[in-house]
Amino acid sequence: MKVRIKYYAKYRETTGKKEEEMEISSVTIGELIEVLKKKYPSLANERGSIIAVNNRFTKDDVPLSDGDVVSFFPPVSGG
Amino acid sequence: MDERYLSQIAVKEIFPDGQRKIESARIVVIGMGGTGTVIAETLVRMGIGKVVIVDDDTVELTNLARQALYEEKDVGKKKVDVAAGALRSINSGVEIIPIPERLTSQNARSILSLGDVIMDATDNYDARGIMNRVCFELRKPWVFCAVEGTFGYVKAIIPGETSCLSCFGYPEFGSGVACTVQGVIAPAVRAVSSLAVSTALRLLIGGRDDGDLVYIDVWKNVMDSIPIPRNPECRVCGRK
Repeated sequence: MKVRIKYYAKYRETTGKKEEEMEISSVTIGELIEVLKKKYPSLANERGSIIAVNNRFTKDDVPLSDGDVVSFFPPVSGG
Repeated sequence: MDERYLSQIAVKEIFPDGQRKIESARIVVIGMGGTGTVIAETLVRMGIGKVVIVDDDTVELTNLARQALYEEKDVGKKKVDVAAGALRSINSGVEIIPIPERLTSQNARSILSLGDVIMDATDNYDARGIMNRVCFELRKPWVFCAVEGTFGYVKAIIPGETSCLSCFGYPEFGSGVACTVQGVIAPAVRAVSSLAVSTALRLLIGGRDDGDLVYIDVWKNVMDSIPIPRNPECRVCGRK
């Protein structure tokens, strides 16, 4: 199946992309993150992401479907 | 009505009725750093009735590049004392209450009870976790905001109506990363702070806010608004 991955803020610098389409076998969000960390090793140093699937945030490790859009936002503490 | 507010009263989202609500409102600003000083200054200029400012820190040289209200001569002084003096000079009609403390689990209920709306201007996950929990217990609406580098987030949290921080997995424990390490620029601070103030005004005046997470990046000219549904299993606000 294909999923579209969108990167926000510093994740764009880390991956060199705003977004990409990825062909993967059935995975959950957690498994997708592991795939991305292998592809972009410096992502492994990042703090846990805030994740949205099809523009709705989730913190559950849900399975993804063909055509899903997964967005990654970095958590931010500053003020 | 004070003529200083004529320009904002002419805006249909405010009008005289909105200005009356602004002038009778009480807002608590937790943190008087980058976002806190800009938020407090804007609220005071607009005529919020009472503004409570909370911070135990002192002014440092590295603050001056992005934090409003402080000048070189203020380095080493307590932030809330300097800020209170500056805010009173801007608008003597606003009651300013400085509290030189750090928000903790012990003092949160008494401090957060002082406001109709609470503004998050903190710089760590622990404080936001406390705000998230205690504002829900007190049923106080609050505005989350955070900034780093060239971007930041703003979100309205209305207990019992919108999602909270815990609903979408925002960290609620830990100190976070200092601004001198992760970096932040003044335009990002001001943009995020301005969005936070607009959000607070909507909560006060009666405008609608669905609690979407607003993301803004001032370097890439990007702004997005992403829905966050309430999580019925949320350990803070779920099923309550």
